[in-house]
Amino acid sequence: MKKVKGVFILFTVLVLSLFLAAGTLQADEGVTDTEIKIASIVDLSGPIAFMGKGVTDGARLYFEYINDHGGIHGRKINYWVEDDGYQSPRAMVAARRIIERDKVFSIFLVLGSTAVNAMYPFTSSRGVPILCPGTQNREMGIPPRKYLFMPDPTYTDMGKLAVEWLVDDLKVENLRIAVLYQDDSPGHDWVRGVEIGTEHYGMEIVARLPYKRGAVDFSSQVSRAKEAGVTHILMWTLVREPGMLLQEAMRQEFKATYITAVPSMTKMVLDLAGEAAINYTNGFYSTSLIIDPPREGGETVKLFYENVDKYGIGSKDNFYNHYGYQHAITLVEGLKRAGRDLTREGLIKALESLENFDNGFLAPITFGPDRRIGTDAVKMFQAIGGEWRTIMDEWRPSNIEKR
Amino acid sequence: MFWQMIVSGLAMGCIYALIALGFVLIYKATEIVNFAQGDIMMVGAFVAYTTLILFHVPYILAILMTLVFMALFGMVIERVLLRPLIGEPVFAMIMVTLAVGILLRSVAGMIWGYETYRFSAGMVDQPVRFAGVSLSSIHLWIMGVTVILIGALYFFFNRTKMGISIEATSQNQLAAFLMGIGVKRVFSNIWAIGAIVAAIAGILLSPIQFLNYNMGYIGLKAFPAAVLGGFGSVPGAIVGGIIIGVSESLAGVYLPGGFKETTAWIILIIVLLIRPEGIFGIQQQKRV
Repeated sequence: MKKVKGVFILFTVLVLSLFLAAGTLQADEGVTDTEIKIASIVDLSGPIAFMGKGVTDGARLYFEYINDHGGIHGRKINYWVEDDGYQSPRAMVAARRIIERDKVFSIFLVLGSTAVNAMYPFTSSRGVPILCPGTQNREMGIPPRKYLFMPDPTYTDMGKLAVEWLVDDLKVENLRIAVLYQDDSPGHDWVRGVEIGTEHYGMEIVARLPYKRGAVDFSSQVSRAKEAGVTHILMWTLVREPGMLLQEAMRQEFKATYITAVPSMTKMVLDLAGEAAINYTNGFYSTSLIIDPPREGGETVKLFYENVDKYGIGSKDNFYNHYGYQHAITLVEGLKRAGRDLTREGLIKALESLENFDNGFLAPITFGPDRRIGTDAVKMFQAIGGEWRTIMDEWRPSNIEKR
Repeated sequence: MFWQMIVSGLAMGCIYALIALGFVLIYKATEIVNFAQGDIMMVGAFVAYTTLILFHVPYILAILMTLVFMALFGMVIERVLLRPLIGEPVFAMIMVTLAVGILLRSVAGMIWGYETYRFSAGMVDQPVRFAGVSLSSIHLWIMGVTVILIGALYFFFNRTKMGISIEATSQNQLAAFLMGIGVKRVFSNIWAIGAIVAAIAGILLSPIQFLNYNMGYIGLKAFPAAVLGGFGSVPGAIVGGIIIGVSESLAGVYLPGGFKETTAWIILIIVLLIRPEGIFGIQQQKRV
């Protein structure tokens, strides 16, 4: 009798351990033998809907290409996009839905750091990574958070480099710098960079010109800059603001040099400002995080152009398409390195192994166990003849000591 | 710089005034606060853009087509969405106008996309120097059109039969009805006029602020202007708009950052505390 009982217990333990082993061997949620579920949470109906559509179109383009070529280790990417209307509560709801109901493997591209911060406690508690948040906010990577990877340089890096470039490269004398920014966290990030830069060279910011999101009148900012004798306006703006600002400057006959952070580096900004207003400046520059595709693009950019023609998604000169596309390349690289036995922890390890990974658009990306920002290198661009062109051959990390 | 800010503020104030005028006209005749006014303005600007730029209609004709379309548009909103609610609490109708605003924004996004467009509406934008103050020819356009429009509305409300019957309806609906005034027709006409004024504001605004499905939010700023002037008073709306525009502009220069955008609301609260009926408002007392 005792023997029978012993056999019975042994059998139960064996069966149980088989189940448990199957559980651990099996891939995470969101991965099957044939597909990997990836979703983006961006604005498709609110104030930055054009960005949301642009970046996700770019990503979708690359995923289509990958799926057409056999996918990753035999799995196709099942990619979809959730709309948050640029409101973090809605982003939070979307994150819950795609994790709990749709069982997404990883969240990829979330526009806006507030949305990322809102959802991070929940997503990380479920072990779901947020990759390439689609913002350049410093707090996305400093301090590093395990489940959050941002390949881009930060706005702080950009602001710092803008000052450094003016002083060291252009050797401008008698600089009178004003900083104009949207009064929220990305804007303050940029200001921080400009502050570090000006402090480093023993200068002062002569005017601080904040505006609230959605502002439509820049007359007082221009007046104050004019009054303060500003020569250079370093600004963090979105798309409408530079146009209104430059036109207002022309109306008030105020001439300055403008350097903007990357969110304004799109053709739409130049179209809105108009040729006349841009010619009225002493130069309109931008700190860029990607290369100048038509002039510097290699094989990757060529493939991008071919894919645009082949799949009919996006357009060749859309910055946001470039941006989404290159992030998709980085994600796919991570998924490839993670191997056939794909788990979220495995993907994180794989991303941490990226060292000077060149995706063909961004500066070389390096992550590590304590490093969640891929690069600090930037390129300077200038608005010339209605388009943005690079004026720097090499990637340029800041020489000013990190803080 | 002081005079520069006054002039810039005047131009912006005229835009607020035009939108506030739309609020006031509709409120005066129907007692409805039309929160969709800003979005109707956006639709007007987009219709002008469509006829002028996309269909290349000659300038004057395009503007006329826009105004006619907008008049019909205003009438349809009134007829389809608000008339069935006559007799319901005013609150219900105000909620409907809020819904109309959201609906218009979504539909506009679907039709014209979510991008921002440059649209000069045929106005030349060049600096004009005047006694040490530089302003734009667009600012002159805005101020000029506002003055003409006020004159036209004044003539309409005091000299035409339709205008007088609207005035009568706004004073006492029942009495006007008993006197043989077609109150329903008055309602639909006032919505048509409100939509036309909104469209003009939209066309004037787009060279400064660009064309975007979200541009109607500026209507929120015009609301304090209407309250300040005394909700229901046409000259009040104009004066209110200009005061808000100029004080915003001055606050941007002389007050710490952040005050510029809140000035309109601070003024609104002060007005409500000190003189809730507004500058030109008359305390209405109803006998029960």
